[in-house]
Amino acid sequence: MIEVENLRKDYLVKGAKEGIFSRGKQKKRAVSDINFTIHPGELVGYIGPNGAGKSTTIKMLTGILLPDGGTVRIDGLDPFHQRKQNCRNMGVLFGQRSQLWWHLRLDDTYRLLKHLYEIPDQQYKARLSTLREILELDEFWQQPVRQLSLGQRMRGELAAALLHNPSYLYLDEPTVGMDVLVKERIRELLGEINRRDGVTILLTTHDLEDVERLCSRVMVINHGNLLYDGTMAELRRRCPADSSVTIDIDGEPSLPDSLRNVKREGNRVSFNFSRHMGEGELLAKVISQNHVRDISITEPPIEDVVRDLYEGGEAK
Amino acid sequence: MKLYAYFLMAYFSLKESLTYWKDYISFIIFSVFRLVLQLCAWYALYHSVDFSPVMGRSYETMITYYLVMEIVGNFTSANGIAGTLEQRMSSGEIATDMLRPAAPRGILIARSWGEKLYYFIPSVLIFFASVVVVGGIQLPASPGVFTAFLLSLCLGYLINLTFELVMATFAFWFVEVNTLRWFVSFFTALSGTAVPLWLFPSWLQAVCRALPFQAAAYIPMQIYLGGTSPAEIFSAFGTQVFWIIGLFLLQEWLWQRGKRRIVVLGG
Ligand SMILES: Nc1ncnc2c1ncn2[C@@H]1O[C@H](COP(=O)(O)OP(=O)(O)OP(=O)(O)O)[C@@H](O)[C@H]1O
Ligand SMILES: [Mg+2]
Repeated sequence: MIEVENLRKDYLVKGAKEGIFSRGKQKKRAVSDINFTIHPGELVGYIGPNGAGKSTTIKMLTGILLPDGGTVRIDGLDPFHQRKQNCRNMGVLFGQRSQLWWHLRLDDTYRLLKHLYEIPDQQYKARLSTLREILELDEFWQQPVRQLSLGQRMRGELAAALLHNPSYLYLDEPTVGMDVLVKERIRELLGEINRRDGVTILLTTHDLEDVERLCSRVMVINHGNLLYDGTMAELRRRCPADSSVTIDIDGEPSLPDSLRNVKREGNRVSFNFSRHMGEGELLAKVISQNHVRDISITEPPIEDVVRDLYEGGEAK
Repeated sequence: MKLYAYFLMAYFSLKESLTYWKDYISFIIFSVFRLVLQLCAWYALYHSVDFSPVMGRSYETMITYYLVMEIVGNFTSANGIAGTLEQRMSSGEIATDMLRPAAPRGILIARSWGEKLYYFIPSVLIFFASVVVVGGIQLPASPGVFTAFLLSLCLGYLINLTFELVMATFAFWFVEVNTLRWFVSFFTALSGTAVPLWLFPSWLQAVCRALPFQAAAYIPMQIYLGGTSPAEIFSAFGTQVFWIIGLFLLQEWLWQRGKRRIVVLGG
């Protein structure tokens, strides 16, 4: 279980230059007293705009950065002060940083990891052949890492993060720079690892499709504050973004004046409505006043929902 | 076994270094060039006038000093650990070291062994080639002296290693500053690797004796050249162990305070 309580991080940044000498350091709050609990087996998406504090949070969870306030406990362990013990049970992937040996082949790095994590021979062989298969590493198995394409390298990185069979997996932008097919494969794989092995996954991303397809739960952070923590469906419901409704009507339509963004095309009428603003009655009125043959409602794209939240929309 | 992982890291870092083989060739050429220049200078000096009284040692001793120092200097050197840490901190690569169930300093040292071997192998070859060219060097007076020399050599490495780790901790406080390099190179002048310390004026020799640098390379060298009594050899070991313990405690103290300041950059 991951327990985070009032977690805070302030970075020291150079202050603005005022006069010749006074150029003191200023504190910049990157993560501001956040709280959450992640239970074993959850797959949680962690999203937010650039500079929101996602990577900073992950660094504190993985024990490579000392928090300035609050606590992190992973199965009761303090990741910073009990770093080595905590490391054994976690896999980490930073999308823009490599943990593979640049001039060597993939299996060199894996061999080293085997000894670092003291993985028994049998287990190592079994695990490696599974990973080789599902991540399709064979086609570039012999090449030094520096010659791999981005997507190929990421598959190699993922295998490195999973080799010692961790219970916790932290992924900071794992799908960055991947093509649609590889992305899809990585998503499937993460889903499978989560379901089959019960690995708890926390994943940050800017591709909301990752979250939609994978995560049962999503946390949104902005300016260091946790703005939302809940299901994707609930997130949609709370946000003011518009859904669009298209109705096929028999005969002349009679529409309330307060409908927004009405478009007519013969018998087909479309307009926008927002669940958030309690426009449900309006929709009911349209349906009761007309002879409706067909109706379809398109949910707002998730990007719109999240954009509202990022721009300071009032969820929560 | 966990220890094997550190050997693997040393081996991999050697392997990675060897991918830059063009650097390697220029390094070897430079080393040979430097050695030839030093030998020629001493040859010229000693053969113009009789220099022995001035230098306090014979020509053969001088040549032996420089050739054996080629090995001693390279073996005892722990250069590069501080630089590597600084570079890994400023690029954020330090994160990968800290995500492993291993000691970050252990990883740094293991990596440095790879690089060490990278420089040590040619220096051994250059040494033997030079010995043949100059027609032999002085050998240690007895097997006992030679053993003492080897032991002192290992202690010398530990002095440089602990000193380098002290330097490395500076990276926690000055991530953006690259003052480490010239700082280190300033002290190599006082370590006896470039000039035998007996040539220094006595006040400078006193300064050197108060610093750890001569204890790393100059002490083993003196044992090799002989003229040191068993009592003196033991007191030399004592000096070396003193520095190792002192520097070890200092780096441990600095490291524990500094590691809280690690800011893993990037991401
Ligand atoms: N080492 C540092 N020194 C000073 N400020 C930093 C440092 N690292 C991050 N910050 C600041 O802290 C804030 C949070 O950064 P963080 O890397 O956590 O963002 P993020 O959510 O991961 O963003 P992105 O999606 O762009 O990766 C940013 O405003 C950033 O400028
Ligand atoms: Mg980030």
